[in-house]
Amino acid sequence: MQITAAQVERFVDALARRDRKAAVRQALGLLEAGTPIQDIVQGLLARSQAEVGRRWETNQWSVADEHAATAITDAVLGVLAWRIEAAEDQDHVVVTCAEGEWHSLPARMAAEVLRLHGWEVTFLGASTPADHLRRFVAEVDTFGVVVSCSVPIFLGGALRSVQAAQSAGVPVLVGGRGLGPDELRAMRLGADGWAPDPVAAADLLGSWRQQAPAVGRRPAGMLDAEPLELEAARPELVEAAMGELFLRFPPLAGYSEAQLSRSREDLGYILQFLEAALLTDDPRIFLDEFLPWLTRVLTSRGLPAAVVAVGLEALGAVLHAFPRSRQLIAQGRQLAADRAANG
Amino acid sequence: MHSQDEDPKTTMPIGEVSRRTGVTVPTLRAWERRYGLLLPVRTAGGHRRYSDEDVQRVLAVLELTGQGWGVGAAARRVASRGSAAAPALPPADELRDRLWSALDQALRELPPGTEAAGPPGDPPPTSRTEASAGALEVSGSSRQSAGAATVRQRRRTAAAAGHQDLELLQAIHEATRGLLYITSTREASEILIAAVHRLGGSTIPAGQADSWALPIDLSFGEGEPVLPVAEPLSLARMHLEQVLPGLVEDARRAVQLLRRSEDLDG
Repeated sequence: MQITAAQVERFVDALARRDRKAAVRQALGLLEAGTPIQDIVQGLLARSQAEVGRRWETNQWSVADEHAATAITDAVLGVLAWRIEAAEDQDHVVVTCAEGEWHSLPARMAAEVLRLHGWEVTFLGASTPADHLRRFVAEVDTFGVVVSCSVPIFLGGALRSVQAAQSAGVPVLVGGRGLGPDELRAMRLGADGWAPDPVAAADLLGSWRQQAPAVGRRPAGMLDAEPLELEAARPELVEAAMGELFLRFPPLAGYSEAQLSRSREDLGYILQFLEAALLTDDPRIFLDEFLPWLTRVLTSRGLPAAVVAVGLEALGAVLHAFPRSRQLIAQGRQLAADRAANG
Repeated sequence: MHSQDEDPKTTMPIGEVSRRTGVTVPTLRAWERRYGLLLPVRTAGGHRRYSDEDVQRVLAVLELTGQGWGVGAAARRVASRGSAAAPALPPADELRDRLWSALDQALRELPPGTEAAGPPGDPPPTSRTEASAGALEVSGSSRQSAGAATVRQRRRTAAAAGHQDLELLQAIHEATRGLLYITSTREASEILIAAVHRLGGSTIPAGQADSWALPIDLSFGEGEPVLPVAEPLSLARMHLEQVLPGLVEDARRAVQLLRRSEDLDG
């Protein structure tokens, strides 16, 4: 049974009222009506969480609202999880968030869907340090590791997680919104597989039973050390760019200490997304995903859209030593200008 | 002797072997693969089925480990003799090897610079804790409950975190223990908040969160969301990053169990 947009809306309404019982009742009602658990997870819970993210993005919901909603979705997932009959005689997989990635609900959804497909799953939780993952995987006998990454700025962490599991000879499947719409980033991280959603992950893992992947192809994304150098230089670059921003954006002089610290954070974010784009050699992270998102977030909070262009200009002025970064910044500025001209 | 025509009563899925021996399925699989301890037959559908003899061999390994044998040596011995024979005393060499490897492991897991922390000849505190954790492991691994590997990993996480490892261990232990006795979701949340403070961090309502906050809600939907906070690159931050993911999962589990019993009650 297909879950309708109206049902998603009803669920999000329950989240908005912080009505856990209503959310649980709706999910159990679908289950009783014969909807498979995995359809409820992907069609209701995941879609509702996407809407939760959108409402934060457009400033309709606060960070607190977002966390409260996520806690309820998580509780509903927990209730569904009790209804999963654990299969016997199945192989074991480890599901974990990439190092640094604290959004654990998508990974937990994947873990439950994998259990539905008969895997015995150990879920390690949010942001598992790669070193812990390596030791854990070496200790248990596991068929594969699933690494979840929701935000591209943790792709560096995902790379470390992938390498940690592979060093124990275990194949790694990666997934999550941070991995983007296709296999490219997963390949650049050297992962053994990529899945667009939990059900696809279950299918891919299942196919590995017939034909195990050759563990650990060499990451092709690390063209050079620029993303690492950029990461190391980030604090100084932010400070230098703040100086440039003062010259280019006069209202900054009237900013409060708290507002200035927000501006520093935003510049830091721009650099982190740059790093991720360089790391995976996938400019879409920066140009198609991050910049439009940042523009929406800032404009919905009352800032002029031009502020993004000014921020890019300030960073461009301090990135002399980083040729690939400078080029991406230039492309971003061009794109922002085109969008401003067309919109 | 392991043919497909074997009496179905004597063949069982691996889950049953696990139930009868208390050893987790992944561990059994590892013993099967590494030591050839289990000798399953395949059903027509390709599923592995195990016999009473497999159960006996696992129990024999547990018996040996209970007497101080290392798992590898015990499993190899039982596998090589093909059946559960009378237990023997562990050889002195074996004991010594295990002590050395526990110590070696402990030293490798020390954070950089810790080696110089103690006076010469006096083992640094981390190695002592890790060595004792290693000793616990001998009996621990003989009867692994579900999640035992996770718990062991947690312990190592704590032990590897530096010279304050004992304090960390105690904080984790008290929090986990507290979670076993919660009677409300709010108590789980309070236990996590107390643990964050004990680890040197603080907490903040999600609505006031800044970039120092870790984006992990400690309230489980009961009352206003609360996030842990610690200065980037501080020791407290490092401890929270190492310990909190697992602890929050444990708390979530406790809350789920609690809510489930509530569901069943009413």
